[in-house]
Amino acid sequence: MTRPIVQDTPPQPSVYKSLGLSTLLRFLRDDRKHTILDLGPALGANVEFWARHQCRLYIEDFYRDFTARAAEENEEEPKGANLADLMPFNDETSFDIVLTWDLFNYLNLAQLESLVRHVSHFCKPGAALFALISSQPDIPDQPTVFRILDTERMAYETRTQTTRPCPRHQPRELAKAMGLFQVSSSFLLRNGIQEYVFVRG
Amino acid sequence: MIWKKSETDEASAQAQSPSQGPPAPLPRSAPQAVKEHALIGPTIEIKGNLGGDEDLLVEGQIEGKIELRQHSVTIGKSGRVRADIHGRTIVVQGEVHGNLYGEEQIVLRQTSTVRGNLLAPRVTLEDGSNFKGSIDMTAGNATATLVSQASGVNAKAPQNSQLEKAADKI
Repeated sequence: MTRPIVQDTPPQPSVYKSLGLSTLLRFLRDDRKHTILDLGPALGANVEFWARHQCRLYIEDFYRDFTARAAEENEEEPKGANLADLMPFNDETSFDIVLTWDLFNYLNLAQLESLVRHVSHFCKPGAALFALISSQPDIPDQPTVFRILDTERMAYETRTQTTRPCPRHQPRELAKAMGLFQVSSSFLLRNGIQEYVFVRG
Repeated sequence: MIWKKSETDEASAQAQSPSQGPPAPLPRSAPQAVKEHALIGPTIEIKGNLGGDEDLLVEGQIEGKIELRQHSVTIGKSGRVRADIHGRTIVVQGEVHGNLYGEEQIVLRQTSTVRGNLLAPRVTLEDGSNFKGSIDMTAGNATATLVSQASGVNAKAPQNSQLEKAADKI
């Protein structure tokens, strides 16, 4: 259920220093081309950022398709088994970095596990996955938009003033759902959100 | 029908507007910038391959392939295309299902919906565009880079051979 937030002004983008992003960028090497999977929406700033590196960027806008699928199935949420259909990559695809942003806060553990299992299939050992997990009781009703400003700073912007309960995935549950991905680094932000960098074993 | 639309026609029509008085004669030395483009109107449906030697604006529906490597291709707001598009510059405001190959630049406007892969030295992606697919930023030997609308910084274009080589990989 969604609950309205009482706000006098519309939400403004906030800028913060992202240690998770800095850590993630250490996985990039100058001597090779990288393949990035961005599960968020297409944003000019992020495309521009990755353009400075040698990489091929896949943009999936997963949550848009996820909610559209749920509407088609006339269910509140699509079944976990169907999530792989939303991203039909060919077998030659291999990602070095996966950006999930705060998507995991909008999935239950079964859905999260299904998504990660599918993505793992297209990642070699050593691939990194970036996620932001909230420990707050409520989260915006839709995923937050994150724009990479530079190698250390990101801006985030909520596009809705309503909230929904946060699943508050616990570290132990999360570790189990992440399957082959293991926590490499994590950073707790002041706003109760934790940045995670996972590495595929 | 496919209509010819000339930018000089529009310019002269504006110049002859009664509210602005009699048209001032153009100096003889002024360059006559005639840039025609073909228009596929909103009620037109085409199935097959499209080629030619002029710029193209699509407001109708096309299914097949569009190959205008030396010209600009614009998919207007009402344009619906299921085709791979090769153009010098490709601008999308409507809907495209297919791969886009821009010799110079690809622009996805805020109103666009694109499902496919983008390959071009420069890509401008406006926030709000509904894009799903891949963007190749290296185009061969990494001579190409890509910019977003925010920066407006030009990038070095790849050689055609590099572009085609990279295109084959998609």
